[in-house]
Amino acid sequence: MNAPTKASAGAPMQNKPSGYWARVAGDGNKMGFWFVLPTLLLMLFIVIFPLLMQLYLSVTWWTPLEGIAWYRAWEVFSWGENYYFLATDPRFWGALWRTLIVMVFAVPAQFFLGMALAYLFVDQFPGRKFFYSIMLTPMMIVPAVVGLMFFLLFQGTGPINEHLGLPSNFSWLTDVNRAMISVIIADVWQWTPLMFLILLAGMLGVPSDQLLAAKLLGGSNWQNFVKIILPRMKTVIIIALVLRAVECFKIFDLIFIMTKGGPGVQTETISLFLYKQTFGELEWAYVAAIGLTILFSLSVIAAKGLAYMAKNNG
Amino acid sequence: MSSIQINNVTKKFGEFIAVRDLSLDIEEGEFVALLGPSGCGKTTTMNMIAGLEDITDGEILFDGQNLSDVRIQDRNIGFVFQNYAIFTHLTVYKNLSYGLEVKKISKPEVERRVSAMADRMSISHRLNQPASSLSVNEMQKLAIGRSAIAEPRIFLLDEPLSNLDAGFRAYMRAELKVLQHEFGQTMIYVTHDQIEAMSLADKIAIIDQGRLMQYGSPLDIYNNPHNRFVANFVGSPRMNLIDGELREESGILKLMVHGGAEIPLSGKVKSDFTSDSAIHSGSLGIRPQDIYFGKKKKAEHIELHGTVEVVERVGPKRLAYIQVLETNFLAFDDQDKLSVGDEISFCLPADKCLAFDLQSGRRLGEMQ
Amino acid sequence: MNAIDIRGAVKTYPEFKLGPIDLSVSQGEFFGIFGPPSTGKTSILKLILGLVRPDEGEIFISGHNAETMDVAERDISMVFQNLALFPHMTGRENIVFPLTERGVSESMISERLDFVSEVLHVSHILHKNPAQMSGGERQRIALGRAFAADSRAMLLDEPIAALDARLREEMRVELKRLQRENNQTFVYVSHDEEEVMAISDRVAVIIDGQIAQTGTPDDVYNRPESLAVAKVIGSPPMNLFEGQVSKDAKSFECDKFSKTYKLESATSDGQATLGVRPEDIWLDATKGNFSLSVTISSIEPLGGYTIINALLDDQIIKIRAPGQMVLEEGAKQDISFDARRVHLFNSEGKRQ
Repeated sequence: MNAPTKASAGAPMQNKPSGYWARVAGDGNKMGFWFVLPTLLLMLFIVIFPLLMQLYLSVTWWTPLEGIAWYRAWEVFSWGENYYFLATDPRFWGALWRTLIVMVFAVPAQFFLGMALAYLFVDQFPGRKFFYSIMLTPMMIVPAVVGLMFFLLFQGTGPINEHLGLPSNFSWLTDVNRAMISVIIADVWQWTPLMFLILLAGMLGVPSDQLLAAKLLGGSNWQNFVKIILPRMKTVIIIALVLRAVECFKIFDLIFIMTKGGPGVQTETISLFLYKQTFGELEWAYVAAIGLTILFSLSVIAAKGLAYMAKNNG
Repeated sequence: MSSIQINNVTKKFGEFIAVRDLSLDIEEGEFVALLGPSGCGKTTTMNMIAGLEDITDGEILFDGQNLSDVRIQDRNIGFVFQNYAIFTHLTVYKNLSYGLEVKKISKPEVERRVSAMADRMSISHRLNQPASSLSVNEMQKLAIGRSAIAEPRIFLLDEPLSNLDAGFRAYMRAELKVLQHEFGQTMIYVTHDQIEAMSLADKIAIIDQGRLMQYGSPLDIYNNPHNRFVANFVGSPRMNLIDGELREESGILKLMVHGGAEIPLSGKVKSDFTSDSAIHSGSLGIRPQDIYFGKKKKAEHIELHGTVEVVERVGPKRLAYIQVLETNFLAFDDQDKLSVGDEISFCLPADKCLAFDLQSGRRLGEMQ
Repeated sequence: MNAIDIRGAVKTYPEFKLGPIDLSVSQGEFFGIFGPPSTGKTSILKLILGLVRPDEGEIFISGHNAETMDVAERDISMVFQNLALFPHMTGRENIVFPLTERGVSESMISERLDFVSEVLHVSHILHKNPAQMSGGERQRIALGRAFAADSRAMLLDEPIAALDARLREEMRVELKRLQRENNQTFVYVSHDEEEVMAISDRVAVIIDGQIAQTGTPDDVYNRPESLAVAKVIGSPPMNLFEGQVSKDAKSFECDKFSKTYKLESATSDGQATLGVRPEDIWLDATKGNFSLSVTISSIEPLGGYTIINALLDDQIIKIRAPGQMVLEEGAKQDISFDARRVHLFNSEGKRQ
């Protein structure tokens, strides 16, 4: 419903089809449409074309070693074989499982730490600006550098073992279980600031007089947090969680530098798996199928999240 | 229900002094309006009473007890915000019950009190709807009900009527007065609208630039302004305030106004101006309804001549702006006779005129 | 010749229909448009200005059909409620903006600027940016910008609503003087009834997208043509009593009245509403020909006059009494109506 609620405000809306295009293109506002058009075409080319290309390749056996150009890949048409192989590939399912493990541990950790920090930073305190900029630095560092930092920190003779008084043969990155823990710690360290930033913005958006009103009514800080702040931040919380969850599928540089996915495949997540398939095995058609499958699944998850949000905000 | 004593309270924000050495005694059950132009410090004063702002200097006592170390949550103060601060993500019921639920009051008791309050505020039919769906008028009622339900020791209202349309505002004014009688609570009401303050409050504290200008009953303030600021601020239409130099010419004391108008002073207003020989410039105040047209009825009345500049209809009356050289006088056109451009005589009764010192703004002479 | 004529203009919005509107504003007139919020006041200004075209009907500007004229050709300036000053420009730049836009000569611009700054007393703030000005000063600059264009008519949309009460009273008189001295045509929109009534030569009352009444302020106040107008004009509002006009059309019966009210002239019987303004009720049984007994509920002392809230049965009656008085709350009081100033509306809300 885009109809203006206040008639005296007199928005120049007419009884024409409503919706986005009516607003952009209708009502003598055609100028705007022509301004947007070039960008729109560019977007179509950048987004739609690679997608179609990927879809095409995913139903063939084509690899760069095939000796034919990609657009002739129909000559080695495979129907759904790649997808069938994917469904039965234990290495893919392993990578997916490990990605989910990172997600299940890293995202909640980032969320709770971020929320606690946001609550701390929502009020003024001496040195707030200084600590604020310190807080945000991990996010600014290139992930590869973060990977290198933690690679060095977690060495057997590195500072972490030294601090914890552990022997130098107590290994992190080459241990079957601890490698994953190290990766998760590094990811939490780097991305908690982003969570903090988004949640702080959301928290600052809670009307301060409503909080004051709740206080004056006798609500304790915890009661007011649960009943006033949290429900009002729902949208922001969902956005932050969806964003970070999707990002988990994209962790690459960090793991690549810290463990290369090892030991064995113990830290091989989806993006590492894809990388190895692409440049190790050169199975490009297979990679296209994996990529599309993941894109499709993530889109469904994100759409569900957004739909939930829309429903709750009426 | 509490009495409140504000003793020499000062509030500074950095170098800026928002409230200066303010003292007020508010008795139990009294309805007091803090009145002043925007930025005068009235809201800061109220925030200090509520505990939302620290006090730089001085103290505020509730029944003789200083609450400055008590957390806001435990002060039990009812506060209605200017924009109501309704919890729009909750239902009307949850809004009303908030102050009770956080105190862990039993569920049947909460239900009983919520439904009683909803009845009183005539919003029962909306209890289960989201508070965001309420009209502004209903939000106003909900905001008052939500504060009142916890039976606070005092009730503070920050310009609660300013967002309402004129018709509902008049209704709400009468309703608030009834509510105050029903609750029997000490109420403090912040407003910049002098008509609202006059019609509602038992007592009005007029504040300007952080200073208390006068504290008294509405009629006391209207009839006996202690200074030029109060005289100018209270009353609608406003009081005529004519500023000029005091000069004696051939035995007659005159107020010489910028632009050339001369007002000969006589009777009480003359003795008021001469009560302090150090005064050289003054301000003469007279309310529009005290001015009458035609020849003077008493020797001591001051007769002037001017041109009708503008005639306005203000409610049931017509208000005339009469120009004497460059000075404007407001008077009520009681007989609906005047029209623009008329040359007329009009009189200021000397006993109704007030005298102020122009420099300090202080009232001169005897108070009535 | 009229400055502005609107004939049968209709404009339909998805949730709201404006019109048909018929009104004419003569040259040099101060024309007020009053209506409760969201009744279509601003839409009328947009029709005049040409920002919106009517679905039906015609608009004439200085006698010319405006259908083919675009906004600039109509040569009408407007002062917006939020002023819409350019924040990055000084007062001077804001005022001369419409002139430089049109490529007016330098000498002409400085002449207009001098004229505008003299009539509006803004010479001392011309160098300031809007952010450095007080509310009243910003208001003057916005008026100055509209004035500088020397256009055919000025439309003002709640131009002083944001100012505080005293300043509003001052600006009101100043606007009126300005308009008269320059013989300008003003169309002034406000939802503040007192303001429109005070300032205008003629007033149109808009209710639900329709013109409910047009006339001088005195007319509209003293002879509201419909119940709807009676309800929105006057503060405190008119007291209304619902009841019946008897078969012989000579008296009005209301459950709350202890006796029937004798009518001097009524045209039809049946359902009706009797209206009395607060100032037309006397606190005296003998003064008027019809008396009632009420219970005093509360007193609002306003200094120059007193508002008395009294209960007749369960209905609150507002009485405006001159001067200051002390009445005991809860006490009985006899009142009577000023028979010359009683209004009667039939079941359709039309004045009888």
